[in-house]
Amino acid sequence: MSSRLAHLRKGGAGGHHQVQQTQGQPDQGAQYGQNQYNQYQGQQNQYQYQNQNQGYQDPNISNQNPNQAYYEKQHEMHKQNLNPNYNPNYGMNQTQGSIPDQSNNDLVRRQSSGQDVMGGSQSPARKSSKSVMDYPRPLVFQEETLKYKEVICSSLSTSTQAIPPHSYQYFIQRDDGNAGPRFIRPSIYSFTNEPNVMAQTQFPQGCIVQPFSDPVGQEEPVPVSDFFTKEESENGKVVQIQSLFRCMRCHAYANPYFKFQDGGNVAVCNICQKPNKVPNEYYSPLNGYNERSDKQARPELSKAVYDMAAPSNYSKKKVTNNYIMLCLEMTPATIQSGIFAQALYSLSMALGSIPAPERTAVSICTYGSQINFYSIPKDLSNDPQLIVVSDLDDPYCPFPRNALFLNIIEDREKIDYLVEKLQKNSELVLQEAEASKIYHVKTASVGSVVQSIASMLEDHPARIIVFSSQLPTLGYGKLKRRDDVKVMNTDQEKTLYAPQDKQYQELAINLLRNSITVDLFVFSPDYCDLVTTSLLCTETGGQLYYYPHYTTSDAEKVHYELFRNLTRPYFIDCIMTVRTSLGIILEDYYTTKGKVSVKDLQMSSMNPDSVVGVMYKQEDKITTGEAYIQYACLYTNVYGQNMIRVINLALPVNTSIQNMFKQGDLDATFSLIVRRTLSNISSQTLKQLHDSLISQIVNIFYSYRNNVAASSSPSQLILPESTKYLIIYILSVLKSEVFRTNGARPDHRYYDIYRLFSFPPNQLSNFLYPKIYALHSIYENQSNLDLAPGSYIAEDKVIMPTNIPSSIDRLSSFGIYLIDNGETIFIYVMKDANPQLFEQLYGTSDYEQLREIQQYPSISDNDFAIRVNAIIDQIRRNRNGTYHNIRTVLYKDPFENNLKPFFVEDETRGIMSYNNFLCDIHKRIQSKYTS
Amino acid sequence: MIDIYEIEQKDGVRCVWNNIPPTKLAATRAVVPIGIHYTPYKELDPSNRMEYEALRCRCQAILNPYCQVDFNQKFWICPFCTSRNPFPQIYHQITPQNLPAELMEDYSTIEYVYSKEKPVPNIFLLVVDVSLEQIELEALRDSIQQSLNIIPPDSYVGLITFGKFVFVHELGFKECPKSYAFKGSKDYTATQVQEMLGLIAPGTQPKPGKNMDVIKRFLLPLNECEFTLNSILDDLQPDPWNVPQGEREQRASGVAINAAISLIEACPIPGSRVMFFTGGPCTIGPGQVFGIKQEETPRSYLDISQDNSIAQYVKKATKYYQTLALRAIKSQITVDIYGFCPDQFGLYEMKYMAEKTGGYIVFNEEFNSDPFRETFRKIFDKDQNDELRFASAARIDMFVCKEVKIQGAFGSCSSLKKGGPMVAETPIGQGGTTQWYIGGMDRNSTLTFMLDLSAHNKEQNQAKRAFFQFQTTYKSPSGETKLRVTTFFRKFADPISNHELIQGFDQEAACVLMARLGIQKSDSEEPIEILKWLDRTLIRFVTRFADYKPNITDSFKLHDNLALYPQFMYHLRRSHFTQIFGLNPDTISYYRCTFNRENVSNCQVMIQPAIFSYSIQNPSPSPVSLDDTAMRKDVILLLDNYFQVITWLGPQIKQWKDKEYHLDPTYISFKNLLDSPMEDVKAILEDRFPTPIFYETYENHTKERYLKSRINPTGKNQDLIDSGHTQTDDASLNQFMDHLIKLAVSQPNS
Repeated sequence: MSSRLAHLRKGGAGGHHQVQQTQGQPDQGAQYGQNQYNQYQGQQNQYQYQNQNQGYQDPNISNQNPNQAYYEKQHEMHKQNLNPNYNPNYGMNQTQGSIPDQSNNDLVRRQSSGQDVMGGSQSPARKSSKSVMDYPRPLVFQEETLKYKEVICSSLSTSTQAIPPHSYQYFIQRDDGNAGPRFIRPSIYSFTNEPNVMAQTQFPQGCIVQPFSDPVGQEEPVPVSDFFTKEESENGKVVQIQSLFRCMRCHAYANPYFKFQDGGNVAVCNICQKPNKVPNEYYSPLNGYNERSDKQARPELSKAVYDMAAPSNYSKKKVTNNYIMLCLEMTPATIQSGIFAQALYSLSMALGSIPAPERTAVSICTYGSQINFYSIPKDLSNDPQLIVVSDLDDPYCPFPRNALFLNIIEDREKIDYLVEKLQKNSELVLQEAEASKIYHVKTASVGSVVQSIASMLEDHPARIIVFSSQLPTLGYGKLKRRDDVKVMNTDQEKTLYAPQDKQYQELAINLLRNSITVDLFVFSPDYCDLVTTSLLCTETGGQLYYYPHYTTSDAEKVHYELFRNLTRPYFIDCIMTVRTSLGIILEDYYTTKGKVSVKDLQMSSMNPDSVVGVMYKQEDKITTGEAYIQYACLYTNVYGQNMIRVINLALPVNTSIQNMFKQGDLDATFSLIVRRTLSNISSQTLKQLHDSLISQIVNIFYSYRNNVAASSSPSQLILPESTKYLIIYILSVLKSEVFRTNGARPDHRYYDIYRLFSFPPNQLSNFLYPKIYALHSIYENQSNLDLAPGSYIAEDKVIMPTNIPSSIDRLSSFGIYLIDNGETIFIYVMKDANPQLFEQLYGTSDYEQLREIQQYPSISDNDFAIRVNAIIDQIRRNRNGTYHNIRTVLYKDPFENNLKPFFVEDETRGIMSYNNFLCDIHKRIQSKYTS
Repeated sequence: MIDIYEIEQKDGVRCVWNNIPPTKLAATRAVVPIGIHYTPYKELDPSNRMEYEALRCRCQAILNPYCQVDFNQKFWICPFCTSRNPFPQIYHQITPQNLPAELMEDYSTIEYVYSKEKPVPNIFLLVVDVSLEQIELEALRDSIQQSLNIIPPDSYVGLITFGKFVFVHELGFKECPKSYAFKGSKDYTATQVQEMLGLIAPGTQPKPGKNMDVIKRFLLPLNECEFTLNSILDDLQPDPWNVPQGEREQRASGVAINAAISLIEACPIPGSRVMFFTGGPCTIGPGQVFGIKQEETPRSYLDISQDNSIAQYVKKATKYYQTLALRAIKSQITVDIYGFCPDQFGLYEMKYMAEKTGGYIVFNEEFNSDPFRETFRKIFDKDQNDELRFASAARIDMFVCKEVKIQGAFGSCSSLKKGGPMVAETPIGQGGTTQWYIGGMDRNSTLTFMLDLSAHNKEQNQAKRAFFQFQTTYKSPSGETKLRVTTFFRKFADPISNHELIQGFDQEAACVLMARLGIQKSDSEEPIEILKWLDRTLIRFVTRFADYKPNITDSFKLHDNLALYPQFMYHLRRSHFTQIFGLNPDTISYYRCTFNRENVSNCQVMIQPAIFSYSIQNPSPSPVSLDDTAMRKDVILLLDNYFQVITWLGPQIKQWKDKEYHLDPTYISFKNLLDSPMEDVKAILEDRFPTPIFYETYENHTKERYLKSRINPTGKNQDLIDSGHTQTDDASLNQFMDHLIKLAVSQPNS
């Protein structure tokens, strides 16, 4: 089966160059016919775990037949035709004024063999085309969505040299002794005996870990090993004895790769090879397979990912209550915009779903030019007492924890009462502002607000959620405006990405020491120095949310994000470490803050969406047959129990560099490259970062070309199958705000970097390459409506509609599209859309009336709406519970322009289109090759 | 013969020497210094009130009955500076028969009211400790709430509560109870406090008198903020901070008072009253008096005098409160201290704030007690004129004729450092001035002025009289600014014989003066030194004035005007004003501050408690001597030492009472006997401010010691001897007198 290497060849006399696509071998063509789905499984994902796919072949084999089939390259995009002088830099590769072939606008066809794998195309005119361009695109195919791919992660399967699916694909993982890709993704799913081979690949060496990732679908929750706790009676008293079984030398926790010998008396550590004596209470005899007879009963010996109770002396802090403090900016601006009311509403809504409510207490403080705390009276017919703290340079909270926080269950009445009173107070503030015509109020800094609460919490872990809408100009941590336009896009700009003073850093470190997490919701349309304030989030493991242009239509998004923030599970006072096989050494961690060079990484709290990058380096030969990575995180759960999460990954040790390339992981590789590069934002210029990103992927592809596909023609762009989407991902980054030069703002730039650093892989992939689904095509070419998109084929499994490339040219004016960018679902109703269809969604067939509809209505009385809703549910479900809000966008909607960045393949803001970028990369590889 | 009580009644003046020693030498030889006790706010006949401005000499002295008036030329000669002042036009009608009141001797004390001015409201800023037990806080809260019913409704009221933090309540905020929190551990400047309260814009200074509207957020007429205030008080909770084992409550008294004064400073309304209620020591921040750890014991007098580590906070705290006191004086604020706690709360360090501003100091065991409730009720009680008991923002000027010099003053006042020719070279007490700030004062507030004579005044023999004038400007409870002028003269005594001196000697006034002088000295001298000084003075005094033949003790005789003086001294020696044994610095400070404030007769009671005996034969009170001989089996004693009122039941009476004879109608006389002293107790408790503690004791009762420590241990009481214990090592009065006489007669007569 095809390795789907793309070839790019300089065109002939006409100046055409062509993207050439190796075609499936003839026998595979037949296979496609037999089983479309399997074909995709093999073809698209290029890995085998347990589902053996006989179709897989080494890319080298296909390279031997480079000319089997070509796809004609469509190199003139729609826009370029309108403007013949477009993009002079790359014009040399293009035919001047070439006439666009209508067929160039046709939808993706996967194969030139004529199999239209999309299962249906849009218009007859387009269908007529045989010539289909096909660049590497991370698309989700309808067939693929017919069922989950099951990834069975077992110790054995890793040695089969298969790699797991990409994060945006649909899969279910099953822990059979090796950690699944939801938890950990190494950049390459193997090591080599020779350390220099690893370096030769030019891949970043490391992994990304999402240690508390939510289970998807029928995935089993992480098992808890309670075997370590034993009850013994001592003088008639029952005493709990906790004994962990760890390696004496390297302190690795027991895992499925511990080898038990000597009848079960000795356990050899898989990490450091030390034979450890098995203590009596942990002893179990071995069975016929030389495995412990209790292996299956013990999660720590049979599962790669497990939790266990930690001995009480492992954690110094005692979490008696879970405290959540909501700090709301109460100024005319936030009240008028509705942010204030929205936050209160969302809090009220979320109260019922907060984990461990009986142990959780919340409080609300507000701030403007002063910080306000509220003391609830005994008698709720009285007003709450408002306490003002105006010493912002030395902020404090005048109440101890127990007097301020209200238990979600016991004091629910009081919380509701407070919310109601705050709502009322905010109206008064607004009335006052209207009366005095003073709408702008200087506000206390986020630093002073957080400091005041932190001083009250002392050393008790807690979460602080701050809503802020302007540059803090008062008190401790007040900030200066420094986004001087003269500095932007100069060598000096990098200074804007270093914190402007030490106070936030000091505060953040103090918060981390006390395990206090800060989440920031920022609404400022103006510069508010996210770089400095966000230290409070990035240092502590909190999350930053940024809504620079908040309008009421963003309310839903705020709601979902705050709701998610409050209701997702969280894990307190985390301290984590990574242990690796001999020969591999741990280098650095990458958090949302950037590079952190410590041995044990600490976070005030983590949540299912937390991702940590780990860089390691193979320095020496690995003598064992497999290499191991053990991630361990000590944390306190919401019930105050000390726990340890252990994640074990076993990787094969290869000799061949070819295998290394085969087993690269797109998500981890991309993530590590971006983290490694953009962490330097405060020390390097944008140009340097830009060049660094490009050179890193060029190096990988060059190495591939040089070491694996040396024999192929230099005119062909040959990419390793596993990581071929790196190009479009990097292009997407280059098009993001991070590299925007025209009208760039430091906050926007920083926030995009923050998102690149913080998004879990599945969210990141859609952020980089938004998925566009053609909703209007649901009924097209469907003989069996039960298998049409939007149908449930399992309890939580929906067939997805056609996923089209992210290019505006792929959109039809008759279409209704769903765009998923990882944060929001947009329903894009084009101007000539079928009124009967959108009426089913919106209840009106009048296009103009659609503009009146603020919120996506949840209509479920017709088949189309039911299907669309099912699709939306599916998207939300697949995002590990991260809720997407839905936003309807119409033709000539002011918001329409904001969709443009989602069409990442198109040329935007002077940054080249995908095909030109491919050309550019190819050229760079070539020039490296020839030099 | 001068009736000193009549003069006191009329002018509020008690002179130690009503005939003044004629020369400086004579004054020195008179042993007891020349002093005048003056009660500036003594009740005054309403007819002595004038609704016009006083007529002043160029030396600022005011026209008075002792001026020489030339009715023809229409001018008057000031007795103090002897300048001639023409009368203004409106006085041109005067003739010897048609005199304005201020020229008549009946009007030696006269009050001028400037009715043109708008009355200034009373301002009460309550500073309330919440680091209290629930029951204490409730008692305090209840008392405050009850007082809200009697505080004049147009009074401005503010509230500050404090514990670990200090909360300044914005009573003017209508929507909900609102307060500003200040960190109890931080030394704020006044400007910082004012900025944080939003009283001034950052970087500015308060505009004097202009921002009443701004301050109205925090200080409101009671009738406007009563509801808000009540709802805040309703919800008042003990400080919610956890007090770890072995630690004291965190109590930021220093910051609280600072906040209160800073608040008023933003709009200094003369006579504002900061009422500070505390139930324990300041343990954090500026003004900290005790360590937060229980193991750090409160300082004793010994620690303070040794300046050891236990007293480590004393100096710093004292300085802090003195600074606050100075600020309070500057803004004419009066600070009351109501400390109700079983142990000390740092009054020793804090006392200046009240003493220097004319505030009350009340120190007692707990808020949840009758003395507190009664005292607090009385603060806002109206007198027969329907006025509050205290005037405020008082300032006093003293004028003397050129033969006399002003050395200084004792009492609740502070020198305003207004020098001049009338000021003596060596200051005593609050000296170096002719003007003092009093602040708050009530009908009993009495200052003692110390006088000296001009050193080289040859005309003294001719000058028959010395003139004195007190001018007291103050804000009356009704908010009017008043000027009280008391002018009087005293004759110079005959320089040759003692007779006139002795005739004019006021032994009570002398005793109080000596006590105040002793208290003054105790700031710098050891108690034993003061006792020695008292003894020396007494011996010199009797040697100087007694009739005796040298070395013949039986010949010793004292004039009636002097006869009680040694006895007073005996009791003074045993009192808390000279003794520190068994008392902590706070209690001593309390007694002494009160002594410095009260009038002569109250002070006299403090020195030598009044004691009355009641018996079945004579159930009405009969004064008895302050002797253990009075403690008879069959009597009830009532002892009043001002701070405590004690009844003591003789063993026989106690026995009868235990047998409940008084419930038996046949023993109605016994019931009458029991009731009789109680009625008197009730009257005393009702009358006195602050309300004394009342103890009912009997033989061997624990509180009996309060009685026994003050009575003269003659050791001759058979009843006591029978019960088998003696009270004290102190010499009895008789022994004391014998010794004194022996020493006196053996001295070479000076």
